[in-house]
Amino acid sequence: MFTDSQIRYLARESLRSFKRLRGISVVSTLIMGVALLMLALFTLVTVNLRAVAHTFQKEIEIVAFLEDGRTVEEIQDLRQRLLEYHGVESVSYVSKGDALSEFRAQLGSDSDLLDVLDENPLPASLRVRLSDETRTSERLDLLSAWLHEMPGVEEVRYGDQWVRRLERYVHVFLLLDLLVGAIVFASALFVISNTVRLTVMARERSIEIMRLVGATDWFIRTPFLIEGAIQGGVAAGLAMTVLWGVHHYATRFVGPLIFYDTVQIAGFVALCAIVSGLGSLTSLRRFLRI
Amino acid sequence: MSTQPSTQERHPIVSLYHVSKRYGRRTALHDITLHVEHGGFVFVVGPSGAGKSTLLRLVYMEEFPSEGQVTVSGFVSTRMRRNRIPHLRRKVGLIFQDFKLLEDRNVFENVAFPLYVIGANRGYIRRTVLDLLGRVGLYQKRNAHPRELSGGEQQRVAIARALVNSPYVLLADEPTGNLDPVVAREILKLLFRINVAGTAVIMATHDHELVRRYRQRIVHVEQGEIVQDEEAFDLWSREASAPADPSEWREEPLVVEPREAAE
Repeated sequence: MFTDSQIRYLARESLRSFKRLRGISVVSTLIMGVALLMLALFTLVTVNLRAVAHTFQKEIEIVAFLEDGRTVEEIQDLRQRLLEYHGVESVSYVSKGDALSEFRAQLGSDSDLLDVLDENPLPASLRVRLSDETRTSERLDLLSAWLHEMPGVEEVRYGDQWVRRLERYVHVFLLLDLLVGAIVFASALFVISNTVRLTVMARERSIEIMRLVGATDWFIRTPFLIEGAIQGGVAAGLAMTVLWGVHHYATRFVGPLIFYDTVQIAGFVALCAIVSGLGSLTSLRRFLRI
Repeated sequence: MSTQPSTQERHPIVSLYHVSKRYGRRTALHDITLHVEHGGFVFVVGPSGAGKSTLLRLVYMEEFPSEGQVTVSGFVSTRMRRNRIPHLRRKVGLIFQDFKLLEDRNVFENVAFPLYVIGANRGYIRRTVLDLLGRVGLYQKRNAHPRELSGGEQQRVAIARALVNSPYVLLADEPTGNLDPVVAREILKLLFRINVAGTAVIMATHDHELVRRYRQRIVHVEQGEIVQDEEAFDLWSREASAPADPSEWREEPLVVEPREAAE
């Protein structure tokens, strides 16, 4: 497409324009970096909060207390039927003895109190967990109602108030998150496209002259493409570096947090480079009248 | 080589056939027919807004006619593909009232710019540009930046840049508009020298006083129409006070040898 000397010229030009327009390049790269930092920070906070919500939700289980004196076969049969129930992930059996020792562990140093009892008052139980997709309050209601009708089940508990509240919070959080996310994304895009346009406008005259002396469109575009890509990549790299620092600092206070893995970071940088490069091309369209 | 323009080739390098140009409902040019021969020289004269600039823009194909057809050395407006326009521009030199120089580059780089664009090699660029700067009298200022130059010097840089690709035709849109009369005449002389060397020149100007004293053809444009086309031969009918001997510029034609520029 280009001759060797044209390629040399374009390479020189792409780097020289950084020097020539150093102020604009640095400022616009920084602005872009801040916009991208906001976007990456927001995404990271979302990912972490979702992870926290998820661990809470995972804790939710239905406990079916069994009547005393049920045979092993009856319990096995109930367990089997539960496992075949849609969405049930695991069912664990807690015997009377297990329940007592659990209770003992919870009481700690006060566990001596239990010695007063001459028989174990705690019932055996089945603890049921649902898979992530099916763990909604409706399904929990349905399952607990169904369990209640089962022979040998004395009582069913799953902390429905708590589940409902958690579900509501997560729901509201996700909605807010989506809203804020849309705003952050739109502003980042707006800031970046304006920054790119500013860079292009700073060179409007040179574009005009290039056209008048017979430069092909691609000859005009290429330095912008390269510059835009470098700017986007550098800005994304800066954003990630700062974010990593923030993450590192925050971990000291709130414990382990999720951070992007290497592939995600590389992907983010590459994506920003591509978007910024293409953005430069789009801003050029006005000047090239395509 | 003969010094008489009349011995140069007579087939047109630039032709406009019944060209009209409209912007919405406004008509900028109406039914213009104009031929400029190889090595010809034409002043296009008329008041501001008469359509002179539009006429030139049609020639370097920044605009296309609403009706009719423009031909520039084998490039035909009605059959012009977008990606061919740069090739036309490399054979049409352009100068403007506002010089259109790159402020952040020195004189040498400005003149060399069209050669960078076509990918000429460094040695060729250096030779051609320095040679040309010598001919327009700016060799000493080759490292200066445009803001350090006078208006006349800036226009000479622009002219050198326009000539660097050995164009068929030089289009000048009010090249003296920002210059005082003395400097304006110097620029005109430079254009004559270029013309005598064989490059056709079309110069648009509103300054009839400036151009009427020369022997060249004058096309008068008013309200988008050619109202008068004074051939060069009519010059004897012009005022006798006109300095009819432009021998000073004929002695030193400003030749730019066409060479194979690309590597």
